[in-house]
Amino acid sequence: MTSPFDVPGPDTRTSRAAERRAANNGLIVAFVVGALVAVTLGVYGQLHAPTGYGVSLAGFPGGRAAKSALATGTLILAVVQILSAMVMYGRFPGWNPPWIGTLHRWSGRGAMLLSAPIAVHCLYAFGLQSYDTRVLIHSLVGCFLYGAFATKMLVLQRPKSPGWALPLLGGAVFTALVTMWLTSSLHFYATAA
Amino acid sequence: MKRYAPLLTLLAVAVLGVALLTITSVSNPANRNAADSAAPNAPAPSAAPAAPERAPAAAPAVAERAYAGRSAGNEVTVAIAVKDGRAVAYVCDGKKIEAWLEGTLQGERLTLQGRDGASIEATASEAQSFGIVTAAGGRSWPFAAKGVSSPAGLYEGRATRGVTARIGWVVEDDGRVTGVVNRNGVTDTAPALDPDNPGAVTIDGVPVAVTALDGDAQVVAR
Repeated sequence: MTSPFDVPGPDTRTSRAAERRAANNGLIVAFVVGALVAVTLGVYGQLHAPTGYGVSLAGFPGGRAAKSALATGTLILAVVQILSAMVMYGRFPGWNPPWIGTLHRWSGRGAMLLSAPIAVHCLYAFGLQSYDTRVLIHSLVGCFLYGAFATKMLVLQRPKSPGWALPLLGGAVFTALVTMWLTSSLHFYATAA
Repeated sequence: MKRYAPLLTLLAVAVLGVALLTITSVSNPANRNAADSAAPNAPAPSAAPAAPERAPAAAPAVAERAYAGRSAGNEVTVAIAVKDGRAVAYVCDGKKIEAWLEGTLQGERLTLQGRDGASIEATASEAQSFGIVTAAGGRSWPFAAKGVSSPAGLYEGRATRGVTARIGWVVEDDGRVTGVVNRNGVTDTAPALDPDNPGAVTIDGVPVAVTALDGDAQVVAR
């Protein structure tokens, strides 16, 4: 849109720099909020005395089978999300239908909403646990997952974020979700007699 | 509305989470919150997860306590007793599977071993113990055990009529008793135990000497 006679005057230059600063600040805020979310969940998990709610009744309430089924649903939606992201970023040349963005957003919402009851149950019944590496990873990555999700939503809320931000955050959320599934549901399915 | 879609999504997940937490907390029959869990590990980091710091061969988080509970799928019951850093445990399914274990409590870390690869790796605080129990033969399950007071806990019984019978019972907080008797390596369901009247147990017509065990006991043959 520029012509050789369009020398950016001092006003345009400073306003663009100001825009960039504002965008960077927004990015920083998003990451800080995400970090706070992750740390808050971790601190809650650590301080809240795990109730093992239901431990006096019949072992664990809700059933690991039920949570694993919900988690597998979450995983499937997450895979739909990453595939639709790939389509949106042109990884499937020639195919980019107009509804792919809607699919991406709703599969993402579905995955996170479906994960909420699982996370609440885990946090409330067990808190942050470290008696086993698998469980420790699950506890820590669980906190990270919701922090990354919060950051991604906040970055999306701002119009001008750097090109690397969304793929990085989307990838982080997806990786975290898969890790959560591997350290819980997969373990359950693999060891259930 | 569409302009704020990401923020609304975030809010929706947060609201759902808080609502579920409130419902869970309110409907919890015990509704015990508070209580101190001891020795905190490193809090969750925001980016790269870091290894937590381990308390070096620390003073046990709990001086003396008994725990009783079960594995996640009700496969086995578990009773653990700790005393001054030493621990004993008994695992059984009330039919055939059983194991006696001995070990230590360091800080909040509970580690016990028994014969044929039986083991318990767990954390223990005043209120409960969570961990993984492995029976002889390798099958393992996650378990949760509540801190309990007498008459709940871990009991051992011995009787001799030709063959020495050794019995272990897990008495849970709600009164359920699960036990297995071992006669020379052959296991079977234990006779019933009324923890308020331990002297009344007999097996094969012979009275059983029943003791409630604490963490100091020796349960694994040297």
